[in-house]
Amino acid sequence: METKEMICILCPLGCKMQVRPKPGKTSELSVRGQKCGLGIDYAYDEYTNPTRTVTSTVVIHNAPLPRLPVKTEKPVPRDLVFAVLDEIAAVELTGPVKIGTVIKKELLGTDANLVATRSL
Amino acid sequence: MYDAAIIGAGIIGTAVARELAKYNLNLILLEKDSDVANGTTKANSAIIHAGFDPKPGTFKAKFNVEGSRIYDQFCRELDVPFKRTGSLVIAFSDEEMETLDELFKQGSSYEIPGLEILRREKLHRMEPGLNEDACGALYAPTAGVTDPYLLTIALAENAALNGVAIWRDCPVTGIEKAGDIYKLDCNGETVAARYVVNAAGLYADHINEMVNPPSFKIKPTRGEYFLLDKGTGSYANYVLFPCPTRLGKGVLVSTTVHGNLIVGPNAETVDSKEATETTAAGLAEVRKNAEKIKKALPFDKVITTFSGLRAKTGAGDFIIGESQHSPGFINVAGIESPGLASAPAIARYVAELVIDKAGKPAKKSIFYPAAKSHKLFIDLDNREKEELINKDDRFGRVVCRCESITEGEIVRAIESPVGARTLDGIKKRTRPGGGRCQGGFCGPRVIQILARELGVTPPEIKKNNPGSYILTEPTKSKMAKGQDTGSTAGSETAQKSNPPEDEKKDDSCNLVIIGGGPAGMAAALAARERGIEDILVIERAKELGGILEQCIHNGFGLHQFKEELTGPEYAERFIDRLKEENIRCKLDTMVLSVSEDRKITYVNSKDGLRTIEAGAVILAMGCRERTRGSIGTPGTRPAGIFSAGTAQQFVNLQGYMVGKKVVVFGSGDIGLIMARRIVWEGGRVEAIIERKPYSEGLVRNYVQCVEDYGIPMLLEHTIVDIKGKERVEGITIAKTDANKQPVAGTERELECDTILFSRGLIPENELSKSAGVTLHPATGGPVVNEAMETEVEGIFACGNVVHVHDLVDWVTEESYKAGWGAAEYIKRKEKEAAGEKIDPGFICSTKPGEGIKYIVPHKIRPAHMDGSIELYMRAEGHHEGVDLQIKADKQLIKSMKKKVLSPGEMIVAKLKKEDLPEEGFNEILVELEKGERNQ
Repeated sequence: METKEMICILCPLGCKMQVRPKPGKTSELSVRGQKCGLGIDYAYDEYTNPTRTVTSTVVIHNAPLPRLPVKTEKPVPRDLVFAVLDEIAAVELTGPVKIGTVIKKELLGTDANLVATRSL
Repeated sequence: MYDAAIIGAGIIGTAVARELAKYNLNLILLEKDSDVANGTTKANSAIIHAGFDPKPGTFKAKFNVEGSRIYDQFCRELDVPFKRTGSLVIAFSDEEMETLDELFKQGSSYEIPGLEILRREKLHRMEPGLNEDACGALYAPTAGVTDPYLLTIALAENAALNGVAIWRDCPVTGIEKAGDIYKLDCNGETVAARYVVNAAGLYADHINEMVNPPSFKIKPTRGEYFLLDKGTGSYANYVLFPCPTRLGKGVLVSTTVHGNLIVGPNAETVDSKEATETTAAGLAEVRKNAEKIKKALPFDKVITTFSGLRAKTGAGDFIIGESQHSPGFINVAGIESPGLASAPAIARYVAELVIDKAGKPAKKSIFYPAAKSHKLFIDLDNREKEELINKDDRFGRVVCRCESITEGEIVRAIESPVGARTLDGIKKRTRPGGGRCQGGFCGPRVIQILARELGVTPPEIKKNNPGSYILTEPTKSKMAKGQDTGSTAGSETAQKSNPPEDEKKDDSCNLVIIGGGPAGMAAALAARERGIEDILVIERAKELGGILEQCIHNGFGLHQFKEELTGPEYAERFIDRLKEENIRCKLDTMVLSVSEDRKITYVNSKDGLRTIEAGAVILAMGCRERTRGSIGTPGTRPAGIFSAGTAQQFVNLQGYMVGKKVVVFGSGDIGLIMARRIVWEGGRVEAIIERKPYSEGLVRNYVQCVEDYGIPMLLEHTIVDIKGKERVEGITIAKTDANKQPVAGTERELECDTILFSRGLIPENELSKSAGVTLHPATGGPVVNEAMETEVEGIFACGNVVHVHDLVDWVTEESYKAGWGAAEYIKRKEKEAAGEKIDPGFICSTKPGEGIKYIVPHKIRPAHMDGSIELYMRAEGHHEGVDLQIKADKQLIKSMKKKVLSPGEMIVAKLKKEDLPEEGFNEILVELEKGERNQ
């Protein structure tokens, strides 16, 4: 497994961390460069399965605005972000829609639903 | 077949057309651009000179003097503003005093009324603030200022009203002389006319040479200008000129008819007739020269910079007359200064030439001398405003908040005879976009209105000429089968779960909150919590929520709700609570002024214009973005330049992309978030450019918006030039030095079609100023105490109007305090009215020490503290491993270890009542003490 360079996002220091598996132990990581212990969990997640929340809009008809803001209820794997955006772009709704309404369930087989982030 | 074709719809062409329209002639006015007043007329000093400058015997002298005499009537008929402010030509040496004497003699020989040589003392009395070495001046009371766009548009409309055909977007590409007739090639159509008036400005030589051998050349001379915010006009009582030189009248300082200060122009001969870009060197020269007249000019209030080209010839005089080679072809060329002043007289003279040629046709039996009223809504008196709204409720809907321009005026500008069809056309006619936000807030709405009225889609609306598109395509258009799903039909009507709109028209209210964004909503809820029943929230948008509605990304609410929300989700939680509490709101309502005694004047389309008296007021108007104009980034002014928040509004709320190859200037959070948004909507971000050595936004946004998508972030770089005539075509960037200034020799080009400016936010305090509230220089917002009360009793403020916050959570927190404070105030006043005496206790002030830029609140009354208070602060510079020390009159009362402090992240320090000494003290000082690990 390779070494990954990453910036810790937990505070404004933005420590540059080098993360790689400990020799001989694939499940344990060596994290270097951090100035405190806070970022270690982040480094594990970011190394093994980086995820992102996707926020965008979908086309909505018969509503006061032409676009409805939406988000993935949970973060999705970072590698799926563009595929999720394609899913989002294919949605067309008709208003009214209530905030929190699930627009698409389990996006691309993940456990994240696409939900409306406002009423419109 | 026309009797006469006039080429060029600037001030000269339109004035000639209107003058000729008094006669029985068939006329056409041809303009190559999308609108009238689009060349030299668009960008000049707007001065009506008194007329003493030009040499005797010149056309310039003749027409300037005559023009100046008839300007009042000219503008009165057309209902265009004209003010005889008077001018001063100022001498700074004995030698220059001699020049003034000569000008005085020359002017007197032209019988210019009221000329006077002022000696030092009188000069400094009439125009305070001049530099000390100003030793005298030539005073010309008849000099004045007008609005060249409004005048030209009024002339064009009046010409149209009197039968002149006006074709825009219609360049003349060839002229053929066929016997007595000229055949003009106009965009494939042929226009035949007996006489041609060549008023083509910068291109008059080209037009002349279509039928004649070359007899003059136009050598464009560029002049650059600064335009300052409204209210700065008080810096110049008169039009202030230096002593003229061989090169011209020099850099002037003047107040426009709209109350802005204008400073410029320099004079630089350029090769291109399109070279209307600004340059760093030119602007620096203008500033330097202006400061020779007055040192203390408020250049921090610049709202835009621009440049214009004068149509100079080598002749030194206007070239006006029939061509020797081509009978019936009349040149009106080389109309440089004093062209605007001379326009009415030139028009008469040229009209007479044509009339004589045409065998003196009769005057029309009916000529309508007056144009339709162009008076702006804001300039009407209250009764007139009410009448207008009663007739047409669109005049109750303010679209442009900086200049208070209503939808009614925008629609009128579109519907008028030579109506606006472009964003710039609206700006010229009614000024939205001409104010301090430079169209950042109103641009998207103006485009919607234009599209609706003209029956087209928003991407079809141009800034100015063809090619100056503003929006590219609807978002999601690939999936939405190419249809324009972003069309505006109905998009301005119904709303979501807003509290019921207030139908009451009370004359008084216990608490009025101005602004229904996160600050205003939190303040309203807090005041209700403390028992205030009679609350009114006034919001200018059609729904509550403020800027949060367009911030569709997540990251909000971690402190308030312990969960991560998007902007609209955060807003909706508060909107729902306002609804539950039945707090009254007036939406789509603009507050025009707040007085010191808390009288609030507002306007909307339901109530019209009303004034309401408030027991207490909370100011929660938020902030606006710093614009390209106020930063003064040099270059052209094409379409495709947006502030990041404006782009966010287009993309997230209106559903339109703003460009395909985007550069973001500034690395603040809005810029980073918008960079990712552009990528997510299928655009490309070429680079993020940051002048400082570090990214200004949150680390998380750097990682998730920039690094994730491999967007180059060019630290220690700046934009030194913007290129592109109609749409942005590219930029020149350069490295910056330690002072964030460009380093010569490091320039390189970058291709792009869009620039998003993310260069910081400015608290929006125009209403606060109208209420006499003291503003703090470090924050740009009101000075407040621990209850968020300003220096004006009973007027409170909270949120970004006080200082710019990085997290909405802090806005909410701070606004609760304002709500509680206002509630306490109202109750205290009631008690005092009942005869109760309340001891106010002592007041101490807060003081930012070493490493701290500012502290809010600025004052604290310990007796009024609600158990504890938060100090909101920003660090000056980046610090690691420091102690934040809080001292009461030098006694250390609290110390906090800080791993890292950066200017981008607000510091919040909680002070408990028991932290403070019990005895009276004067000052709470906060400073950074360096620890061991310091850099």
